[in-house]
Amino acid sequence: MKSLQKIKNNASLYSLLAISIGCFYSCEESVDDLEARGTEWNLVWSDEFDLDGAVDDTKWTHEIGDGSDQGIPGWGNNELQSYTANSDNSIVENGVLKLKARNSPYTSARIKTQGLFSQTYGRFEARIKTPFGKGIWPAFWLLGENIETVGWPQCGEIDIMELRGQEPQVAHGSLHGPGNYGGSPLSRSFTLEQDRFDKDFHVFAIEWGQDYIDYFVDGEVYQRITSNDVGEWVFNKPFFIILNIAIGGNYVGSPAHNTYFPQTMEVDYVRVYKETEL
Amino acid sequence: MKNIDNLHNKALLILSMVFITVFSCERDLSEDAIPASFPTTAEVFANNTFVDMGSDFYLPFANSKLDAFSVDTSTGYKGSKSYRVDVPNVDDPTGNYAGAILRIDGSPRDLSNYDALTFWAKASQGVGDVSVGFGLDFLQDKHQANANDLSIGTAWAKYTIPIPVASKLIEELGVFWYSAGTQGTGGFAYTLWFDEIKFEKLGTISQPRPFLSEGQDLVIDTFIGVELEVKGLKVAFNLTSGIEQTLNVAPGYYDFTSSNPSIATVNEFGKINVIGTGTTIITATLNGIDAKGSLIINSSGDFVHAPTPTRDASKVISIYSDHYTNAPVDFYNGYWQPWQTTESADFVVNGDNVLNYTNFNFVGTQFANPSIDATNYSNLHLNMYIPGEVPSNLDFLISIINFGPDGVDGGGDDTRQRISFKASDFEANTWSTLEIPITLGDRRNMALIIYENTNGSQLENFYLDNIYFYDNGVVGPKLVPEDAPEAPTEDEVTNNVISIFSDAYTDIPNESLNFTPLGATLTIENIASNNVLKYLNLNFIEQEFAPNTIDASMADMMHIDVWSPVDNDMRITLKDYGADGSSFSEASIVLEGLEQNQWKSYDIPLTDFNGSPERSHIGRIIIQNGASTPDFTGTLFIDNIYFYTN
Repeated sequence: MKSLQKIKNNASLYSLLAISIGCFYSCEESVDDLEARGTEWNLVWSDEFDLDGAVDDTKWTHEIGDGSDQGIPGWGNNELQSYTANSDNSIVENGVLKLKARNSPYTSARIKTQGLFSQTYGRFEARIKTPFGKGIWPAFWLLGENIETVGWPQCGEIDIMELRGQEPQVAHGSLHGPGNYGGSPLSRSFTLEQDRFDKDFHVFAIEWGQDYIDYFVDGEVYQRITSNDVGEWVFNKPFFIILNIAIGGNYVGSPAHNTYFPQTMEVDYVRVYKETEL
Repeated sequence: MKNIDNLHNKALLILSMVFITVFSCERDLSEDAIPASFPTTAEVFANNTFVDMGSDFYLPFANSKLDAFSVDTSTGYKGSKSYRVDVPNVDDPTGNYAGAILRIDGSPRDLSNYDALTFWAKASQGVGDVSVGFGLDFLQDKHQANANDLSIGTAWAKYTIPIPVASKLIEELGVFWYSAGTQGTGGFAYTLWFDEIKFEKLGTISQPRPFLSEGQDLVIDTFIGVELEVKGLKVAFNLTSGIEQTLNVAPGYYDFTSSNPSIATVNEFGKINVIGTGTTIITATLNGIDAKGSLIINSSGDFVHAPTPTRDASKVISIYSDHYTNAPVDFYNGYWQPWQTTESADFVVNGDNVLNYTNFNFVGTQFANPSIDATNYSNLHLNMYIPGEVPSNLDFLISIINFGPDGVDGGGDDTRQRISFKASDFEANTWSTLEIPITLGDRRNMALIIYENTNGSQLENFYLDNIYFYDNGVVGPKLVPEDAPEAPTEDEVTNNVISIFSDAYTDIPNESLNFTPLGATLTIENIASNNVLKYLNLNFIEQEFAPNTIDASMADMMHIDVWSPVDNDMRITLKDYGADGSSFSEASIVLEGLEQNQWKSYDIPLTDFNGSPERSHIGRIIIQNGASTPDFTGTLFIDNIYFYTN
C-alpha cells in the first residue's frame, strides 16, 4: 500500500497495472452469454511494424529507468527491471516488434504513445505472442492522458492484456479507476484450452464505448464492463497506449533461478479504430 | 532365489489384472477406429491397474533391488491401488537402489498424438533427484527421455515429462521407467508411489530449447579412425506451472549435421566417425530448432597406437587391453563425488579401445568383484599418452591398492603402494611405457588403481592403454625366503647380547612384537629349521617392551637380519623411556636399499643412529617400511635382532 500511496500523492506519476493480486475470483459469471455488439470500425491509427530497425519515434516514446526518476522505484510494484531504449530491449525485425526482457542486470522495454496519440472510445487491438516464465509480466494497456494532472487511479487504466509468465495459458483483462484499484479492480481471465499464449500470435482487443468496455481474445468477448459496474466512470476521455514487459514485482513474483532469458514479447501490429459514423 | 520367487509372484498377480483390461481396451480401439498402425493406448497404470502392458513387462535395472516394486492395494491417488516402489537402504545386499523399465510385452504403441507422460506421485519422505522417463526399452533406447531432478513430496502431486518430438513415437515399447536411490536421504530407505501413469495431449507444454554438449561448444582433439558419440543432449521445456523442466534425451530425437563430412560423419544415433584430418563442427536440431552447443572435432590425422604388448598371456592379468582378455572391472572411472572433476572420453580407434581422462584431477579404476590375486605378478604395466604438452610441474601419482583379507575398500586392512611420475618420465604426443615393480607384500586382493594429479600440476588430458599385471619371471619378488640367515656368532655372555628375537640366544621378555599395528600382521615362521618374524602389510610396527625396558648402556652395536621381497629402504627407531618412564627420546637410522629376495645382515654401531641414542631404558623399537613416513606397505622377514658389545 505504501507504493500506492506514493502514486496517489504524486499527480505527475502513474502506476503500471496497479497492484491487483488475488482479484480474479470476482468474475465468476459465465462468459458464454456475451456477444460482440457488431459495431463497425474504421481504422484510424496503427503501427504494422513493417520497417525493420528502431521503434518508430513518430508513434512511440520510450519509458526509461526503474521509476526512480518518477519517484516510484520499482514502478510502484517492486518490479526489478530498468527500462532502456537500447536495441537489446526493443527492435523491429521481420515485420514484428520485439520487446526483450533480459537479466544480469534486469533490463526491458516499455513504449507508449503518450503525447503522440490518444483517443476516446473505439477499438484497440494488438496481435501478440507473449513471453513466458516465472516472474515475467507482459502487458498491452491504456492510461488516461490526464494522468499528468489528476494522477492515478483517477486518470483510469484499461489493461487489455496482461499475463503472468508462470501461467502462460491465462490472459487477464482489467479496469482500474477510482474505487477500482489495488485489491479491487474489475478483472477477468481468459484461459486457452490445451494451448498457451507464447506458442503463437493471438489478437487481444477492447471495444470501448460511452458506457462500456468489452474485452476480446481472438474475436471472442470474455468480459463486459459497463459504467454501472463502477462508482465513477472516468473512461470518457482520451487514453494512450503502452506495451511493456516487467520483470518480477508484486503481480508475478520474482523470476526463478532458471527462468529463461531473454524473454521476448512479439507484436505483429497495434491498431486503433473508431466507430463508423452511420 | 528369493528375489526371483517374489518377482514371479508379482508377475502372476499383475498378469491376472492385465487380462481384464486387455479386453476392455481392445474394444475401445475398434470402436474408435483410430487410423494408426499401432494402438494409441495412453494409460500405463491407471484406474487401479496396468493397461495393455502384457505379462512380462517389469524389467528392473541391473544391480537394483529387483523386488522393489509392488502394487500397493491400499494407497492410490485415484482408486485404491498404486505402483509402489520401496527404495532400499544403501547397504541392502540385494540392491542399493530401485529402478526399472516398464516395457510393453505385446504390441508397441503409437504415442505420436500425445505431448507428455504424466503421473501422480508421492513419497514417504520428501526426496529430490528421482529419475523418471520413457523410451528405455533395453533394445535401442532410441527415444529415451527423462527428468533426473524430480522433487517428490509427501502429498500426491502431478508430474509432467514432456515428449521431445511426439511425431517420432510411432512404435514404442518402453513407456515408463524410473530410478531412485538414497543419496538424498542419508542412505535410508523410503517409499515412492506412482499412480495414473499415462500419456496425455496437454497442449500447454511449450518453448522447447534443445542443447548439445550441455549447451557448450565442446572441443575434442582426436584422430582418424576414432568413433565418438554426441553427448550432453538435453531439452528444456516450460510447463504451465511455471516449471522449467529439463530432460536428458536420446540422440534419436535429433537431426545431426557435420559441417565437413570429409573430416567426420555423424549418423542418426549421434555416432561420429572421424575419417579425415582437420576440423568439423557437429551441430544438431530438434524438430527444426537449433540446439545450443556444438561438438568441435579437431582431427590431427592418423592415430599412433600404443605399443602392442608382447608378453605371454599366461603371465598377464589384464585390466584394460585389446590384446588380452580383461579381468572383470567394476569401472574405469568411479566419478567419485564430490571432489572428482575427471571425466571420461574413452574412444575406439580402428578397433583399439583407449581410455581418455579429461578435466583430470583424480580418477580410479576398480576391479573388486572379484579382486585380483597378483601374488605371482611382479609388475604393473601401463601405456600413457599425454597429448599437447607435458606440464613441466607434472606430478602424476599412481596408487595400487590391495583391499586386504576382507576384500572390500576400507575396513582397516587395505594396503597401498604409491608411485610418482614426473614430467621427465613422459614425452608429449608419444606413448610412454610405465613398468611398475609391485612392492606390496600382500597382493592377493588387488582391487583398485588410482591416478592423481598432485601438487597442483596442470595435466588435464591423457590416454591410457594396456594396463595389466605381469610376471617378468626374472626379478620378480618372491614372497617367502627359502633359507635361514646366517647364524649369529657373538657370544651371549662375552658380548653382552640382549636378544629381542633369535634362535641363538635367550630372548628378553616383550609386551608385543607387533604393537599398534596399522594393518600389519605378525606370525612366526619356521623356515629352514629357523624361526623368523614374518610381518605382512607392514608400513610400520612397534616392538613394545614397556613396562619393562632394555638397558643397552653397555652395548655399542645392534644386529638385525632382514629379508625383503623388494629393495626398499627401512627405518629403525629406538625409543628410550628414561629413568622415570616418561622422559622419552628417539633416535633412528635408515637402512637404504635392502637386498631383494635375500637375507641381509646389519651390524649397526649405535652411534650411527642419529643423535647417539639414550639406551638405558629402551621401551620400544619401531620398524618402518621406507625412509620417511611409511612410504608403502609390504612384507618383511626379520631375525636375530639384538644389541651387543663389540
